[in-house]
Amino acid sequence: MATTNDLKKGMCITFKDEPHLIIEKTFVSPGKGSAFCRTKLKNLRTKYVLDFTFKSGEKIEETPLHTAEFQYLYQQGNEFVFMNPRTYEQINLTEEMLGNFKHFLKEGDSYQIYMLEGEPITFRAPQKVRLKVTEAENATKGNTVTSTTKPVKVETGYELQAPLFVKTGDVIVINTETGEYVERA
Amino acid sequence: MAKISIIKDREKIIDIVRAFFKVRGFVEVETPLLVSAPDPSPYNEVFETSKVRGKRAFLTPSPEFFMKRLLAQGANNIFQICKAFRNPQELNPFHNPEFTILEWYRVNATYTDLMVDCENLVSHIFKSLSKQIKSEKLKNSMSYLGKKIDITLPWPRISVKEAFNKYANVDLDEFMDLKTAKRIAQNKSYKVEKETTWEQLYHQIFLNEIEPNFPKDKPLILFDYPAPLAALSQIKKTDPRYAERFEFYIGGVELGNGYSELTDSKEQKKRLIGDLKERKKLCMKTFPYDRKFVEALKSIPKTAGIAVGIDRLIMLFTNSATIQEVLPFPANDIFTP
Repeated sequence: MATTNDLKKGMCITFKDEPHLIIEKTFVSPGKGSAFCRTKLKNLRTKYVLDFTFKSGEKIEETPLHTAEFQYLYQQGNEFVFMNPRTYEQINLTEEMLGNFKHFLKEGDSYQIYMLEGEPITFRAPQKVRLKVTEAENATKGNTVTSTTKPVKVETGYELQAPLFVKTGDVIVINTETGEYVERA
Repeated sequence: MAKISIIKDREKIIDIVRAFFKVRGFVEVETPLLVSAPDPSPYNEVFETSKVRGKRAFLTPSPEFFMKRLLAQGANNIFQICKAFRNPQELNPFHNPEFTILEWYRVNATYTDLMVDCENLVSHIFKSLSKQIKSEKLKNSMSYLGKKIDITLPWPRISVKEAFNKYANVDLDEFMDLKTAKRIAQNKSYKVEKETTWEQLYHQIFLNEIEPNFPKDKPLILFDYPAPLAALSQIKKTDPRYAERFEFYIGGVELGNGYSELTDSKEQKKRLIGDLKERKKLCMKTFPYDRKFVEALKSIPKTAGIAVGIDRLIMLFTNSATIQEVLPFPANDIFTP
């Protein structure tokens, strides 16, 4: 059985008989040798978020999640529709589940999604993505004096600041957490 | 990493603190950071350095023992602003392994005198920083992370016993007994096992049900800790189940921890040995206890002392959410993976 030492952000545990996702985790040691593990838990059934502090070393029950590969189809209002390419089963992910990654979804590409009992739980976002630049202004002599970056647009429609040498048709690497330019691929 | 503007505010706040104590007749002292017998309280690991004259040496987790030795030598009211070192299990928004601590000691005083000092100190920093603000309305209201905090004196005070009753519906007098504590915790559906200790149950209820519910629109003084959590404080003469220890919170952040100091050298020796045993059980570093400190307590006057986290105080007055934002070079920038 797992203990609080194994707790990780993104892990799923059974807490008070319900599946909970760990959103945040920090250690606290208020005194006298006892250490604690402060967490933010999200009930996966009710979506209710609560704070709970475990005793360090306390036994916890991990809920096994499995990842499944899904193909991104299209956006429908605030939801994003994915399809299992083997079973053709379709699932919807919310904007909240995708977080910042909603800017980087490419139609037709495959992504990993954590599942519990057939229900999508979280999106496993890659740290970096490679996307093609579809719009980039030519760096004019004028802006090089005042700035070293310029706005560019990538194939998913997302806009960001990139160095002046980036041009339309280049493939660039973007950090999906910060949404910032990393390098030219 | 702190912005230059915050580094300047840091200097300003530390100057104000220093002047506050000097004007009140406190003498500023300096005690060693490199020590041979650190405070063994087992909640944080100490840093050990290379040997000095063949003896093991440590970076001090607190200047307390040496300041008390000065008191025993006849120093009157004293204060110190220095570095202290504690190795936390992980870095978080409130902890850096090297931090700045403010400690002051008042002779012939008790913890209630220190509570008044804390109120006056915070109020004095606030007034000194906001001299330019003319509006009467703003006078006692500071803003931290988008929330208003009314620091009008005196601050609300609540005993630990009252807090357990009010926020967790637990009678702390009953809870003091381990068996009863286990039953109460179990009824609240906390995990209780054979080896679960009283401190663990106390803190689990405190951290889950009490601390998060403290009002954040005013400072709060939490006082009279259960005797097992006395640390270096004196047990209450009127009720030996509790100790004259307090902590104060502003905006939900714990800023300081003060005591009517334990002056009984025999009892002190017992507690140090107890802490060292606890460290051994927890597989932490052990070392001989500080005999010179214990010896000095035989001639220490009645005194009250407190430690305040200067970095946290600066967080509060610079509207910073993390300790890293008020340190020019926080540990996570120095010790990169």
